[in-house]
Amino acid sequence: MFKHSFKNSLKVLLRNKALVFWTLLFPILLSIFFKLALGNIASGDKFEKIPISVEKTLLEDTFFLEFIEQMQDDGYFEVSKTNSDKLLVEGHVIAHVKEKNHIITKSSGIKQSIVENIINSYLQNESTVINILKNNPKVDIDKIIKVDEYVTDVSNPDMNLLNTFFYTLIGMQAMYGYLWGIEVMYLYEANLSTKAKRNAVAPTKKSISLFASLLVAWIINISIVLITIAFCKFALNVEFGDRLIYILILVALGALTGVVFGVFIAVSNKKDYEFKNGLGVTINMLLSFLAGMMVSDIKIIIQRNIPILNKINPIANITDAMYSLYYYKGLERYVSDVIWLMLVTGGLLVFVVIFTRGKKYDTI
Amino acid sequence: MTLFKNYFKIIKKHIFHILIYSVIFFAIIIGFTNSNKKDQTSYSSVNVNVYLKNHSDSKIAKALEKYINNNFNIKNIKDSDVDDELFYGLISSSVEIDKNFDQNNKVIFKNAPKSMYGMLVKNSINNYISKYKAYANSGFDHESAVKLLEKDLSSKAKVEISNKANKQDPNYLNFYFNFINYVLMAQIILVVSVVMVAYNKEVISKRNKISPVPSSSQSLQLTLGHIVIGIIFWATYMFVFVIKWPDASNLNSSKLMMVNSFVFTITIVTMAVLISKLVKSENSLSAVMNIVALGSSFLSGAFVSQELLSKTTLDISKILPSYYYIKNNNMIVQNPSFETMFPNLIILIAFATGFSLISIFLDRYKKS
Repeated sequence: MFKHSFKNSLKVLLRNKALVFWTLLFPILLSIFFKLALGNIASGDKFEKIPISVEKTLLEDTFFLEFIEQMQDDGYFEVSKTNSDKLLVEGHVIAHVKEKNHIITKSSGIKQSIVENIINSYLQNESTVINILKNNPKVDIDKIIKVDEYVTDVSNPDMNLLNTFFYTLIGMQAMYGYLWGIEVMYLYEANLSTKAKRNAVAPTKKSISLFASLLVAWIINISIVLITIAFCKFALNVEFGDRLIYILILVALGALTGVVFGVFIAVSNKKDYEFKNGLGVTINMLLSFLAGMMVSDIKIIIQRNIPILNKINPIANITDAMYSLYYYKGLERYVSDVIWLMLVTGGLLVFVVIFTRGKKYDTI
Repeated sequence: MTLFKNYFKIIKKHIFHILIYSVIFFAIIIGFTNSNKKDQTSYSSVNVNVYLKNHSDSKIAKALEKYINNNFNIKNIKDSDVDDELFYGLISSSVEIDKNFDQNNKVIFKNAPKSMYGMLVKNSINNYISKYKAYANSGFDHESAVKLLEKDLSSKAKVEISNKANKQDPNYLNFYFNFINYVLMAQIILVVSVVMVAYNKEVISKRNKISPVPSSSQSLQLTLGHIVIGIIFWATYMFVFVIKWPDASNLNSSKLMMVNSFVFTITIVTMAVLISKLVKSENSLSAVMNIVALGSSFLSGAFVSQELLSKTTLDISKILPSYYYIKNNNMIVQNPSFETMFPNLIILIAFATGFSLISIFLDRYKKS
């Protein structure tokens, strides 16, 4: 009987094209949109030579000329020598150096600040050299103005913010599994649909057939999330780290949370199907927003101010767990995310049991 | 005018679904504009957010700490959050001064991914330590070295914003008008399709066919409904814009963007009518609406500026009216004159004509 219910639920659920669209195709489409729209953003902040123009007369000073040429060779500037700020006005350069201590720009920004910083360093060197020469005229000037590397750079190379958008998308998709949960409950809760009434009076053990159907919903949801992950990894080059087994555990758990969430929505109120569906979408969108799908900083701002909100948000947990597998070497954070996800799922399950157990109808 | 009146009755039934887009939009607008109060008329260096921890008690370490404190925006965050904040770019770099700094001059540095801001921090630190050492090696004691250093580092170039440059329009202008691309599309397509799906139901359409109202009048009333609803949405967003930024609404560029968005609204209405002829059921309706509205907005640069999109993405988006609408907005910011936006306006009108012709053709085809 289990086999019978399992097989038929599988058929019934997969034949529902709207569900397949919203749970599988829609997130995949969104992922393509993300890639097309945001793919270039990560490189937007990368350093490229800054085009500047310098007044020709300034370069008659050999020290300044040497300095500017050095900056060009070091890859900071792309220098044009001019007699006016024409190149700046026309938008070909970021800044025009009019005097050694006078820069003209069109706006404020990071590139302008870098130009300012570098020109300042020349002025400051001048001042240092004068001070030291006053005290010790025999000193080697090159040694004075030489800047050594004292900074030990330990930046993590595994950093691409774009990935987190996809992690949140996958979290959202797992939670979209609520649609399967609702659908299954409409097949079994007698007060919800005609089909369920028929199922309720069928000479089968309800717990077994319900369990079989929920298992189907869960398996479908897992498969769907895995398909999307594979799509993101192989077609869109999104990195997920190489700890596959942990990703599988996370996906299985997340997919379960989604289905249970759907069951919870279905049995927790007596509104119609449309309302329940709308409720699911709204909650899902809100949770995705809080997990950083639209603005990635949101998640960190919440972490800073109301950390508990991230812990009870399943989408934030899934995002964070995927992110920690990709970014951190240790597993502590992943484990903590998984435990919170289990707690949320468990909590929902408790409510589901309270709402559904021991129902008997004389008439509906 | 029964059909026309009924049009709005149908909308009333779906009002929650329709309005949710406006609510989200307004929330985003308020959130965005409150965090962007930059004055572009005078120059200011960028504010670099840095996490700083000094493990050393030495005098030189304290001097360096003071220097970093004075020049960058130090963020007080928990040690455990530093890596996250770096990853998400909320701080640009993390700086830790080594415990034995007075001997090894070591500074541990972490940069946010591909950030130029971190470079500023790194350069400043190297510069500071190098200069200090130059003084120390030339026989200056700590106090006088730090004092002279402070004086050296205070000599700064004057930076000015060129008065020849075009005065920049506030950036929310462009943001607002680019963003309404999404809400206008989502809402107009939603409304038009909801109404048309209702009228296209077999029972209803058969009943309408045998009614005494001629079919030309019926389609005229429906078309009127579509246009009125388009204008209502457009007018609402223009109204909100004027209320939110009364000063900006007098700018030449705002007026041009309003004209641009009006023509775009008409194009969207014709597009929505065409979509409603192709979509049969209410189920597939929201799917199509979402794909068209989100797809157009992502690909044409409504959410992310067109400058940041790849060439392939922009090439794909050239088949969408949104591309020309948004391109026009961006061009208006650069050069606010009617001539600037005229070519793209013509393209939008061509799209509208094309969509209408296909719709008429589909109607004829169905009848025959």
